[in-house]
Amino acid sequence: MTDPHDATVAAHLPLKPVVFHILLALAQRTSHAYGVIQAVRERSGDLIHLETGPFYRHLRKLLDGGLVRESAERPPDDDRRRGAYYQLTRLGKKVVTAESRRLAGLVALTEELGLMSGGETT
Amino acid sequence: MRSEDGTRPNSRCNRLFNWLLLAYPRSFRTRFADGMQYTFERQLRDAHDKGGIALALFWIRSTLHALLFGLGEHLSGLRRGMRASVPRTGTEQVRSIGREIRHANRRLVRNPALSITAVLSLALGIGANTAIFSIVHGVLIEPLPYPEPERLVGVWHTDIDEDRWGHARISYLFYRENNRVFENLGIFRNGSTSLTGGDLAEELPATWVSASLLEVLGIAPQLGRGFLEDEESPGAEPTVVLSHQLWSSRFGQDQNIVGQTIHVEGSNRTVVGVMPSGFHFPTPDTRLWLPMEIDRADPDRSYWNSTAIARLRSGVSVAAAQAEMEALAARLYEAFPDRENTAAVFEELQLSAVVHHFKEDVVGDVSGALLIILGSVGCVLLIACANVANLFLAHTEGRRHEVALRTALGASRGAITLTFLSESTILALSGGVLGLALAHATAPAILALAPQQIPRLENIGLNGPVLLFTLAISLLSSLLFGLLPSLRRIPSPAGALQSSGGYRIAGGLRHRRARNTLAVAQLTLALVLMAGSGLMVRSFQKLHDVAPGFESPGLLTMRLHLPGAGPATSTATVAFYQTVIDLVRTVPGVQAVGAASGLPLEEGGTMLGHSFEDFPLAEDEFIPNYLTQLILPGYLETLRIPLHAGRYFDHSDLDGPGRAVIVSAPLAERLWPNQDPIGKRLTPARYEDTGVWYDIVGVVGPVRYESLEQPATEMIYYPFAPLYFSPDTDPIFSGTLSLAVRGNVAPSSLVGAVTAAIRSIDLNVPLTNVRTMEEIVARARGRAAFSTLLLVIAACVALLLGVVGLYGVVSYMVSQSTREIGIRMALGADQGSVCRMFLKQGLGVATAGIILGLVGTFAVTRLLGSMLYEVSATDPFTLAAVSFLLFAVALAASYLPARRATRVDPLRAVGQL
Repeated sequence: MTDPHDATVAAHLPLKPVVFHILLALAQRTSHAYGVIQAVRERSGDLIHLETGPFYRHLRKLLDGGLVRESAERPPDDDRRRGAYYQLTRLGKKVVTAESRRLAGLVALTEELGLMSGGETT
Repeated sequence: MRSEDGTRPNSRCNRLFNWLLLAYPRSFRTRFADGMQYTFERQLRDAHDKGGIALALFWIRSTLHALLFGLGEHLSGLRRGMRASVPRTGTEQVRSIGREIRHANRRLVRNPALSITAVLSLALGIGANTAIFSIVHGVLIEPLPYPEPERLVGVWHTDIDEDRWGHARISYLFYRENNRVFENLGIFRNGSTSLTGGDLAEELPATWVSASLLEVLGIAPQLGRGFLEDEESPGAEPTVVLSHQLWSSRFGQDQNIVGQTIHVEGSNRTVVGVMPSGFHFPTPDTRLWLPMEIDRADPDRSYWNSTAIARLRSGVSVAAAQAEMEALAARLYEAFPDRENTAAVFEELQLSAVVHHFKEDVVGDVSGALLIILGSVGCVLLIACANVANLFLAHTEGRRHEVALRTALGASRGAITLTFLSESTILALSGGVLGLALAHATAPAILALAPQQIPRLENIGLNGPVLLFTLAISLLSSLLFGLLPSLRRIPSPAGALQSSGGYRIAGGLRHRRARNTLAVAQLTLALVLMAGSGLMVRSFQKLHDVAPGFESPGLLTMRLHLPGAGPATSTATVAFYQTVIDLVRTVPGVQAVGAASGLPLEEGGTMLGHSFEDFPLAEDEFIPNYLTQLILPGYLETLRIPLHAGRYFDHSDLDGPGRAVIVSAPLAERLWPNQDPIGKRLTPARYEDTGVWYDIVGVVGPVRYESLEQPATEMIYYPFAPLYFSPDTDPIFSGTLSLAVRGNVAPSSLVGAVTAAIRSIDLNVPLTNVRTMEEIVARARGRAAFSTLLLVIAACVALLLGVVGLYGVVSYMVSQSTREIGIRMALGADQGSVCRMFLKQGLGVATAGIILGLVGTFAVTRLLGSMLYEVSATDPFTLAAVSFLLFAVALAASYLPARRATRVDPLRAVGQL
């Protein structure tokens, strides 16, 4: 059964790695901008350092594309200066799942070819 | 107050970041500003922890991000807006554009004050730019009218003093034979010659050319042919090529002219060709071309006064040609009979060659002045645009209700931008058309004022590229002030539809900042222009005060030419001129008459190598050249060049073995400081071996012979007879003398009587260049005067526009603040303090403009450097004067609307609550 959303989801793939990380961070928990940036840095093993300008550009596109929305809920120790909190939408969840599946498929391919173990296949 | 994660707001960095955020559109800021602030603070702290360089890099990156992404957001916003409003089909598009234009037109017509002021300001700015650009295009940009003109190069010699030399026959032949970079090489020399025969004797500008020269240029004669190399040999059949102009005016376009003989310079020459019309080489004045005499057996090596042009082989660059010619110049001595000595002389001189595009020789040093003037009128256009932008901002301010309504009804930002743009385009194009008409009307006047030294004058006109330029700057202007209102915030529908006073003040504040900034920018540019023109005016004044060394008022001058005179008849020549002088002296009103081989401040002067008895030269030392003149007794007295020592010439110096010379003071002071030069001996270098020496009998005052800007020339005056050479080997002195007539009436009134007197002696003597000495001196000041005039006009227009802008800004402030004024007055402020309040604001703008303008002046006026005579580019007197002038005018412009503020009725103003 083809989900009518499939086409919309597919339109967002493949995700830029940075965007993927942002969505992953939001998938884990609703948070504000700086929180997302921190999470991305941790998850990528300190490889991806997002700064304010680029981050907000991605964020704006995600908001406009309907993958992310402002969250009404705020944690109890909220500091208003932190700005808005953001969460994934249903579409966003679908997209990040689809991308993960796509990446997994690629990893499976490399395992088949034996590249992961460092040796050549016969 | 600390927040839970320990960050203390660092207000200075916060404010800096706020500034950076201004690069983003307002909608973006509203959405994300808080989060961005916080994120930035945290990241700043992290970078701080990492240390100095990381922190600096962080700031740099943040700034760049803000600019880039901010711009990106602006563009995305516009794109989204446009996409919403762009109609789909082709006909829809055309119809919607048409509709927009008609609406825009209607709005502009309903607003005549705005439209007329804007169109006039723009017309002034655009017209000035068009006029100047047409000159720049005709002189600098348009290529020379020869096939493949970019391959034409001039070849010159340079020496250790970085003087430029021309060519001698010997160098021309050597280079021609030995180079591998030129397709062809030719030389030429300008001069004049007389054409006699029939009833008219004329002296005409003529050019002596090598046979190869016409081939180098690549233009074929209309009739007949150019010269053959055989015709260059001494003793060959004399030939001549006519210009189209001469052929038409003098020979009635006779189709059979080729083969006929005409009488040139006293001898018959066969016409071998006629050049096509439009062929102006080297200038439009040249009337005929004569073959240069080149003796290939013993080529002349004394006169290095010919100009060389070459055509590069295809694929050869100027740099390659330069390298080749430098190498050849180093070998030039090989062509000389005395190789060793010549080699030593050339090496000491550091003789070398330089090659550059021939166009540079044609255009000369005019380009600097022209580009400065173009920059100035560009500034004037910017100021005009700022004025129109201000007008436009006020106009759109008043329409924010309309805009808000349209936005609420669904019009996108792009559509509204389009509306403003269509209005601005109509205004700008109208201004452009009017400006074009203005330029067309004033161009003849500008060119009439221009000194003849501007080359290629005939090329200047309102042609295709100039029209394109006008269109381009019109459209650019329309973008400049048309986009301005849409870059400002388009008011949110809800806010604008309220008419609460609170909103109005806020809106006014935003626009006020924009208008103030524009006014400051205008005044800055105006000050820079005023400073530039002020410096030029002072320079011109200083030049004007320069004493040329002789008394120019009251002098009439002309040139007399005796065709066919040669050394055999030198006595007869002297007798003739003496007769002329004696007869002219009897004309009523004439006080004194003199004759000399040339006059000061006219083109050209003869340089001759001299040896001095007191300063014998070593074998390989180079012979110094001095400006040399032949004069008849009475010349120095007629010009009232003062006598410093010794005596003037008298008639006994003309005949007999008399060997008298007079030198000018600068030469005497340099060679014999604190000594008496009278009695010292010198001789032209060519006579050194003959043992003929000349005695200095007098020292006269310094004369600025070459130009007013250069210091007085070291000169040597000879009495006429002894140095009169034959004209058949590059005449230094021909039979042409300049006559100077001093009268106690206006010189121009003497013209008729004097010329009649001369003609009564010999009807066939051509008389040319009849003008007063004052005209000659004025001409010498000519180029400076022209540039100065244009700059002053530009500065005045700039000041006017800038001040009108300031007036507008202060008026606007007053009109926006009526309620505030009412409240203040109701609370007891008197009229004076209200007036002073606005005066202060206006003067604040003016002061900012002046300070920024002074900064700009320091940066920019060094460009004027070479055009200024004895005035430094940052002359404090001038800068202070123009600053003061601008301040005073700004004071007046602020005072008038400030006074209006005092007439506000407090009750009514407050009653608007």
